[in-house]
Amino acid sequence: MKTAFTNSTIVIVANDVNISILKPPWFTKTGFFRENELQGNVIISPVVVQIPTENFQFMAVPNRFQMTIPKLYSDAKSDVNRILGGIVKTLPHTPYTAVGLNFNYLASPEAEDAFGPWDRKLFSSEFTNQVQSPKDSNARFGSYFSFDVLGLRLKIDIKPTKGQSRIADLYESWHGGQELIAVNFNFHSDVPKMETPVDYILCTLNKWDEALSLSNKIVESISD
Amino acid sequence: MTDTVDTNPIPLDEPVDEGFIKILEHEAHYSDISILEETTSSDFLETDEYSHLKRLTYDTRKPIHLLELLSIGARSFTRSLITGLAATQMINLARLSSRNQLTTAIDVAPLINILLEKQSCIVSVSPDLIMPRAQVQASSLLAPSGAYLTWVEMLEEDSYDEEQ
Repeated sequence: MKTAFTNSTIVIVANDVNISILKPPWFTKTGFFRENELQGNVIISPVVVQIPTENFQFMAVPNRFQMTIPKLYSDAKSDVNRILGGIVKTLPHTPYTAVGLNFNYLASPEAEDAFGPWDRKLFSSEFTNQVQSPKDSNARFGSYFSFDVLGLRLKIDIKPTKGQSRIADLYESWHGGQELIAVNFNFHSDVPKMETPVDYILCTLNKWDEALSLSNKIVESISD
Repeated sequence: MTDTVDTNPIPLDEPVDEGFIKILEHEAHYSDISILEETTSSDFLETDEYSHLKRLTYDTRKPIHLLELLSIGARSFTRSLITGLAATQMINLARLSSRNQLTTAIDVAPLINILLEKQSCIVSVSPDLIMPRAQVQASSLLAPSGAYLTWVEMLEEDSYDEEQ
């Protein structure tokens, strides 16, 4: 089986994020962003702030903060704590409602033309075989399930998909249009009503690497 | 444990390819000209370009290119500078309309408030009238620089009279 990590996105949902203060001078004054991280195509507007850096992309809109890491690097976790943890600590009175740690992967069988049978073997069920013919070579399958782990609610969503034109950047032998499965992990937690929601959020952010390890392990366990 | 809020990511990595460039050429309706009249300055409303735009929209609801709309606005302010945000928002509005996420002209028109300032033409999306996801998509599109430049080049290719 071939697998590739596509990205991780950390989401903090809040009611009424104060976008107006999120400007480069504030970011540098507070030390959340390094000066070189603010040199790219930064977008600042009344409804969105978007900061792309070499290692991650930060975005803020009225109802969330989001940080996307397209490629794993050694300081990823500390950057999550620096950026999102720093913002949360500095804006403790923002009404935060939920945190999500997301990890996304793509996978395929070794042989490209084996995708149909591989996908069916892994994800078809008694139910799906009732509604479509088991001999239908064009049928495609996925899966969804959720359970509690790491003190969070893990939701795993697996869907068949096709590789985009630049898929070879992720895995050399893959090509645009190739059939793959997308495996998406969402480690979710509602922020409970408590005196120190910031501490809860920081504790959740600190589970990022554990959640990443678990996601890696689960993806690798998908066997062909 | 139950959850009540969606913490799935808003995708930022939609690829931009040749098909996407074609989406820029997709025609979008702009039928409610009154929205434009309410939100733009009187300077723009007195221009020939605005008269042209008005004729287009009233002419049996003929669709106009979003790019034409923006380029009309840009030319009307001569030294326009299209911000990255304006580009991404207009591009994504074209994408949304092409994917039928905004199914009617009435959906598209109220979503565009054109704020024309002296040195720049900024298109902002009204936060009250747009779906949250669409709003974020409008702001989160990370067009590779090549695609962005292509879009700007398409505007610059329009004949542009400095003396207008």
